[in-house]
Amino acid sequence: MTFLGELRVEATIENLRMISYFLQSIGQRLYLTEKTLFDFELAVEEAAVNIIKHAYKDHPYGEMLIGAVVIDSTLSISLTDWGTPFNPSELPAFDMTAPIESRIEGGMGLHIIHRLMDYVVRDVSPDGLNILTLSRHIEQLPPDVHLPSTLRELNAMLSVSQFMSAGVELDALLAMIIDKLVETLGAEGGTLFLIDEERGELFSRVLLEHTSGLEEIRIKIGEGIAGYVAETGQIMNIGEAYKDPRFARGFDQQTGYQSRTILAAPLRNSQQKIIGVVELLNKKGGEFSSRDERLLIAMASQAAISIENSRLHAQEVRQQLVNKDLETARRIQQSFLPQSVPQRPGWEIAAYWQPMRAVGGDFYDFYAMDDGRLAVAIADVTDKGVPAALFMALSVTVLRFAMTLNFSPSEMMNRANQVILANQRSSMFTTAFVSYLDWETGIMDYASAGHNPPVFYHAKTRRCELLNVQGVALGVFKSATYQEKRIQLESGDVCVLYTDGITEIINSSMEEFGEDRLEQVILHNAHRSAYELVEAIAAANDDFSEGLGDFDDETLIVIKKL
Amino acid sequence: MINVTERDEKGVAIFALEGRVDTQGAVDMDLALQAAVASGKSRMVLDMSRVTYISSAGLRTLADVLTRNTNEGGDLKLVSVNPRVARVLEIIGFMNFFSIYESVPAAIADFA
Repeated sequence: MTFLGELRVEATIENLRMISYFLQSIGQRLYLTEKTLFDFELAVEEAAVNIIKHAYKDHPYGEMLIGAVVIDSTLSISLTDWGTPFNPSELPAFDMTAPIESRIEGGMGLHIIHRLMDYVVRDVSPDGLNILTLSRHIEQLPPDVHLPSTLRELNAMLSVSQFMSAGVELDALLAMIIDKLVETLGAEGGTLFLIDEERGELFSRVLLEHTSGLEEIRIKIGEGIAGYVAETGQIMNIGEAYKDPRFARGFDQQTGYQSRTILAAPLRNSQQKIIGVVELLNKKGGEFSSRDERLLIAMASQAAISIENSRLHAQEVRQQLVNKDLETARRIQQSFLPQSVPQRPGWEIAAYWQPMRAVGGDFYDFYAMDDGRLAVAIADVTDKGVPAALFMALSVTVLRFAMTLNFSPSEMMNRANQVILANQRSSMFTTAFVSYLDWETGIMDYASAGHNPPVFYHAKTRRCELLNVQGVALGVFKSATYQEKRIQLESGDVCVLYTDGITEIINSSMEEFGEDRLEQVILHNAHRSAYELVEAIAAANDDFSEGLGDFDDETLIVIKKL
Repeated sequence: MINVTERDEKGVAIFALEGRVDTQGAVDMDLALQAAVASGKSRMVLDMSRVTYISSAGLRTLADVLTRNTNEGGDLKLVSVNPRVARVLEIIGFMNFFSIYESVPAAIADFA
């Protein structure tokens, strides 16, 4: 069995062309007739379309892996996906006698695949992989065609690596490259080393049979032949390994292998930086020639580019996974926030929450207390992004629980501070403002843990005041104490709770939006509904920042007595 | 990508296709043919001498347009079908439904 290569791509119609190129390079390598290649291309395209349209129908993102192996004179192309398994019994058989208009729907692709291929095998692995293998006898080539010119061989290898490196797994690519180099240059074996910059070492995960027993080879840069090549960037062609002082005998001793001749070349990426070394051992029937040297240099540079592409692709895939995790985190975080704002005749409440990144450190909460009052909390975790979101999860749990204990706002803050200090070992802290609102009397008791003072608009005097009250952020001092104050909301009065993302946003002159501008917006819009006031503040904030973007999470709560 | 050029001759719409009618290529072909159907044309000739490949997406368009055209008293005639493409038509049993000609004039003449 010969492994010809594999291609891993996102399952999209656009990527069908990639698969076609991949198959064309396989065809070139095996000298397939045009007819055979056509049949494989068509069967594989139909199978891939079924994966895209059916297996991944309900998946926002899916990948497929196309693998090629040849066994004797049979070429097998496997298509692996991670989507919904296909059940052929759910699909009626393609009816060759039906009128043409009824053949438009489904089954045509499958019929084509079965007619073009000798074997069609469908497997579902226990861990959810669907593997479809398409096999067909390929023409045996005359013996002399089996030994193509090195140049043709080289071209085939280059085209394979070019097309494959966009999506291939790095280890599989390395294995394929070293196999190809060993075969093309007539060596007994070889090793492909990559540079581990952090440790100043070369390492290899690609091991041929003679090194079975070793899990991973590691060599210090500068040591041995490969280490010398990594350090100097020179190609090394050594006729008698044991006579060269740079040769490290350790591996031969460990493996019982006898190195005679060595050809080693650096792998340089497109910026000419050395990223690894390829080392070939024991030229069959003599020593490596200068022609072998040139060939190895040419192939090594191509291999290096393929390796870099493959690494970049892997990075991209990882980034996509991170993005998916963030999206999940955002949904989880949003689920912490109240589903709706409380409604009560004679009152209007509106809320606004806008994290700067996918997740953030701001939150707010409403809680109906046993005595009929409404507890309102707004809080801001120092820092942004994922660390803040995790700390927010702790803070929201603690505050929510503390509100159920029916303590006064100051005592509630005190308890929350103790619990947060006992449960966190990071240096993060949370500012919070908590108020208990009596719907009937309009009396609001409040305490603050170092949070921005809310703006209280007094309708009778048409003036704003800041609700300043002493208290430090939660999670800083064990001995912190919290002051408590009270206001009374009359008809037309408005209370605006916010986080510093609102007041600290800057414009192009590096000025902050600030409390004064916030007060101005509130004064001008206090007669409007709570919802409209939220909109007005958010809009004023956006206008002020002149599209410079948000630098912090932004949260607003407006409470208005009608 | 495929190239589609369209011309009219004696009330017959003639489409010359060039390229691989794979899943993506079929989209281009479908757009061109369905636009003609929508404008009321039902007598069509498809010059396939430069089509090197076709997959089921393209075959569905052919079947769909043929059905619409024959319902309107027209046809979709194929010209110079490459042997490998012809084999695919054979495999799915389309050969009985389509008339295939060696040249565009022969196909047009058959409409008369």
